[in-house]
Amino acid sequence: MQMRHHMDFRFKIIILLGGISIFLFVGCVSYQMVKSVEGSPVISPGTTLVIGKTTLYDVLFRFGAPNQVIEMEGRNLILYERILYRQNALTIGIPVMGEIGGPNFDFSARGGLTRYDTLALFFTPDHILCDMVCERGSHRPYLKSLFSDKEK
Amino acid sequence: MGNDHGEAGIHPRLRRIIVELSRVRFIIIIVTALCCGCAAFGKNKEVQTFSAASIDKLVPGQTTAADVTQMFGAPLQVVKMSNGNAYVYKRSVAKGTVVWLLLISFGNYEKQYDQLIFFFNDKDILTHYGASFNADEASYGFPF
Repeated sequence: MQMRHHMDFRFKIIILLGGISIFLFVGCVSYQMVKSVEGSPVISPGTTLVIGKTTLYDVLFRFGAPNQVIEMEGRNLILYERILYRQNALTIGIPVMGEIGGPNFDFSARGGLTRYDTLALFFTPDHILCDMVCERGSHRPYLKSLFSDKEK
Repeated sequence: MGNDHGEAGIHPRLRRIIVELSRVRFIIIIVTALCCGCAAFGKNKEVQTFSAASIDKLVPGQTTAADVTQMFGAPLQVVKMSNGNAYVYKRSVAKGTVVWLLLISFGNYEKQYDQLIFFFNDKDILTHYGASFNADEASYGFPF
């Protein structure tokens, strides 16, 4: 009697595992991870750049060609930029009508985050550094940034 | 009663081997199922024919905008600056990798640039230039 009960329990477990396996293997659950990078790492200026002293020549020699050059009302802006995009997605669904274009039972959650590393350098018409801004977006944590309600 | 070979009449050693084989088969099936999938690799290029070797011929204060266009061809972009113009030359290489496994898929995309920028004064004389050659650093890979 006890043996039979044991066998029934084992049979139920096998059925349950089989059901879960079928559910997983037919593509009902899938996880996607995507990363995109554009541009080279932006070198941190540290103390190497001094406002009022560093020239355009120094910057081009040290950092190479910038990604963008913009004229701003008498000042010249050169921009070094790197764009990082990361996306994670979890999809749970049953692809019933997918092949013939109908609706599916589908529940998916996606989170995409684009972060920028930017070094903006402003020069006078005489090619002297007059202002700079460095932003390291890639240092921001993925999940915390994604779920934060704050703009910054 | 008193049957050492168990209720099915199988020798314990043989039974152990069968159990072991089933376990191995189960692991092989799971691993095969998880690893089956497909992969795709892609490469995109934005071509602009300029040579890094020509940079050595540039002399700030002497080289003109006409010399630069003769050496490097037409610029991709000309930007009006506060005290002259800037000529921008750019080309890129992008590489993408996608791997689909049964439950997990990975995508990776990397784009890198070769860039040249020349600054000219209002008399079209070269004052500064900068160069970066990173296009070859674009690589295939995983997103982690």
